[in-house]
Amino acid sequence: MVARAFERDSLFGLIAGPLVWTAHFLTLYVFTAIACAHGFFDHQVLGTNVVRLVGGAATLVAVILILDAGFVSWRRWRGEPVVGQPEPLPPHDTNDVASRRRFMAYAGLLLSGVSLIATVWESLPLVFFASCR
Amino acid sequence: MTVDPDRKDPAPDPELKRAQEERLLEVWASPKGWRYWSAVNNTEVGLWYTVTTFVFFLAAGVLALAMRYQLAVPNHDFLSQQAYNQFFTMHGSVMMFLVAVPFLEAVAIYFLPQMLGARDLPFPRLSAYGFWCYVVGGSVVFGSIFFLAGPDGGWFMYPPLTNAEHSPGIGADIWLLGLSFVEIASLAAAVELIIGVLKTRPPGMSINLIPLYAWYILATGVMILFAFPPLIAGDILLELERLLDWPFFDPERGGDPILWQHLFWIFGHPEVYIIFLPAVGVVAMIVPTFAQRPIVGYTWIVLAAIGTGFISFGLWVHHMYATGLPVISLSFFSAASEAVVIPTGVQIFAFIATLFAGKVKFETPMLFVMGFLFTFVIGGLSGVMVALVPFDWQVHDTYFVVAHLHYVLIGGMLFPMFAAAYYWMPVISGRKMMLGRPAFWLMFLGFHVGFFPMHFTGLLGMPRRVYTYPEGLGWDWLNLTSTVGAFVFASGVLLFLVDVVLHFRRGEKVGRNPWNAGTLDWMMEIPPEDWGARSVPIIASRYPIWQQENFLDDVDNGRFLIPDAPDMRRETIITSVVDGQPEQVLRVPGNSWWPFLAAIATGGFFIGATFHAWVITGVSAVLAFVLILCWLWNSAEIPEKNQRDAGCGYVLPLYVSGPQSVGWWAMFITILGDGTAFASLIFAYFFYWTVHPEWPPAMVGEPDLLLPAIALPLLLAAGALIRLAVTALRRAAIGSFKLAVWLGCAALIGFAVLQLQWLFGSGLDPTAHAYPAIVWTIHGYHLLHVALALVMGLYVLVRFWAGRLAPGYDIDLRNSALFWYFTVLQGVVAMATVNLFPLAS
Repeated sequence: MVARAFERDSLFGLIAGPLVWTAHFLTLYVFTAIACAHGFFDHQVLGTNVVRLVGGAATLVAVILILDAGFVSWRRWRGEPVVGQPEPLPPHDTNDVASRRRFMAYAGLLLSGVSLIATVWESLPLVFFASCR
Repeated sequence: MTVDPDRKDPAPDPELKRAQEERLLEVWASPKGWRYWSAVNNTEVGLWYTVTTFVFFLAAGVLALAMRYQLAVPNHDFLSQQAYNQFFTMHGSVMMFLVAVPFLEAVAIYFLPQMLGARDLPFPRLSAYGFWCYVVGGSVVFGSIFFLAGPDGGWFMYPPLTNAEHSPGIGADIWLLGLSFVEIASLAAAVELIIGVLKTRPPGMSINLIPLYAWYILATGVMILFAFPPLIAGDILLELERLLDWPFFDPERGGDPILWQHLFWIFGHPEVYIIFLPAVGVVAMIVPTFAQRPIVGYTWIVLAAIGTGFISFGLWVHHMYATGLPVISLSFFSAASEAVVIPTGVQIFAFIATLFAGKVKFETPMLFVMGFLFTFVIGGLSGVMVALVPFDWQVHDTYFVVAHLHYVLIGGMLFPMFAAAYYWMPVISGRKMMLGRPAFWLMFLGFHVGFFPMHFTGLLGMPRRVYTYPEGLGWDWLNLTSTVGAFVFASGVLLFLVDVVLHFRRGEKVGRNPWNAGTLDWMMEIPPEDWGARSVPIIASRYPIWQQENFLDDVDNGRFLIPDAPDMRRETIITSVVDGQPEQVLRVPGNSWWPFLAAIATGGFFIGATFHAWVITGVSAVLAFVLILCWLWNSAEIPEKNQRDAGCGYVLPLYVSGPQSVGWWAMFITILGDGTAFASLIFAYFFYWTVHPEWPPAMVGEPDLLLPAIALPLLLAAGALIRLAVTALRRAAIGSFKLAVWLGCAALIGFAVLQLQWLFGSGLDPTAHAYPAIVWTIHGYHLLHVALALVMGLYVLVRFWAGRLAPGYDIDLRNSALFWYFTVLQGVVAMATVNLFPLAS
């Protein structure tokens, strides 16, 4: 999906990582809030706490999606090496399509990075807390 | 798209050049005399906006000084408790709503078009309307303090303190209605600025070449779009509770005061970053200028702007750590609060790296930037502390938080804004200011002497918002020091004011681009000409004045786009979002009284409602409606020719519709904001579901599904019909077009009648319980949109009869259709929530 966005020069490719972070964050928050409010927080499914199970699964999916977005960005950013062309390093500040694409891919890569860190941090409470108190 | 480096620059024909300049000046001239106030040009509106925000800043600052004077010694009786409560509420509300946010809009309205080499933003009249709304709303809100009738519930207005029982009188209503009115102005500015960044860039300015300030403004605009509507929704609910006794926040009747805190802080936390980002944007323009080199880590700063924009929406509950939410929920927000430090820190490092890599000239703007870096980093560090749940529990509602938030806001917003004033003042006055250094040091030292001790006052347990305190608690000398610091800080601000006044006569006169900057904001002549850009340049780099040869000469001699106004119309260039390819020559509307009059009438509506003067409210509403229609009538006109030679080989259309047109974008962006407000109401519904064991409550009988089952297809039919109308008009099938719009309107009316019948027949009494109240609100909000869609449908028909809408010239129809689709979608969500969800739960 992210690859297609980049193909179409869509700005969506840039913010794919943060969008996944948003979805992950809301899933965790909303699910635990409902679990606490409706009293099924301590419910056991497959031998583990239901919130941990759902939260863990959501985190796994989110991490895979962000890694995918980051990987696609990375490939777009490096591009195919071309003989005689300079290395694709920043600042990407000329007004040709190649430079602009490199910039977008690079920004997408950085945003995937920060989204990945935020998503992993976000999931830590699942490890350390096991009650609604 | 590049400028041919080997081209020969023909010496411009002086006759032609003079004739072009005369035409441009005449077209872009601002009116003289009393008609001056009908101007809509970005430089006029931006300047008024800036000056007005500064007046509010001084006023709210005086309130702060009065409070500091009251707290200087224990048991002081300078202010009564009642006055003190109103002072701190007003100080906070004015600084946030009437100073910080409007100031960013003011600066952006003035400078964004300059930075983009545009002649103006695409909707100058909307900017003017927003400004006048702000003046009217802001004056009423602040004016209430002179009668000691102001709001006194704190700037976040928590119910139940602010409900009708505990806050009788009009103070809270003034806050809710007056500031909602100002928020609408902010949304208008956000629409304008987002489209400004996306569509009015100069040719060639692809997305990797945008000035960093524009990136920040884009992020901020989008944040306003998603942050302000939840507060507007909250305002609606609280005002309905105060006015009609609908118990949204009353636990005895199924409401919950925590809902207000959620809605408020979903707005309130991003708000901090909405204030902060444009200020950093200013820093990102100033730092390269004084380091005399391009910014280091451009992409990293873009990461910071976008990353902060996202993550700042995941922080709102860190204002609610003490409300008793489950600790695991708090931890998610704590984690996000720590994560936002990364993008925030990245940009600070990028600035420091740029300064290291360049040869820094420590002129006054740079001094304020250093003040920003130092102060904001301290505020950020105490922010990391309060983001931790156990620490926050200790200092919650103490002076530690007061210290933290002032370090962040004054450090992160005010110092950059003073830097901006010293940096850009030559553009306005043609002179440099003189007293910057003493003013800076007074402000800087005064600030730290004033606010640093508050960390300790807070740790010693002094709560916020107490109007006095007994002696002997160890708070005495700390408070006295803070008061001294506050007055020193104020003297710095006073010196700045003196400097502004004096420099118009005594300041050093400067020529164009006095700081030798590289960005387009310094392309302007000094003093600036009304045309903004003599010709709209073709951009090939991030710092065109530094990096493009012969740049200013090309601009001045009209070698770029639209160097002339042959049709005597205001024009600017519209380009594509990603690559900045020219797409259209947009005819921009000129000076007009309509925005001013419409704002006065809109103000009458809000003020009338505040004082329960329903006749004034009704008359003003009708008047505002008519005036806005009059204003719209001349927009989207059909041009006398289809294309215009823009120069440099570009022949561009004058009229485009659909997703290419700025009007369509404005509608789309407005819908996003509007949809967010609606989503907040839906959130409220489901929030109640999580707090109630039984939802809907037992008192509600079996839901009637028959009427909704008839109504929904009607609504869907309306959506299909408007789609049909669009394609029919495109095929020039006039009969089908008219029939489809008429039938669509009829379907909307039928839907509204059925919905009203259902609401009145359901026996749901909105004063009895939060459930019927939220059901009425959701459907009521949607029905308002149905009414608006109906008006748009009829407007389209009238436009057609008047010859202002025709096959190939269908902006109005396309935009109205977009709103209709939104209305249909909203209706589907509303009915799924209200009518179907009870069956599932």
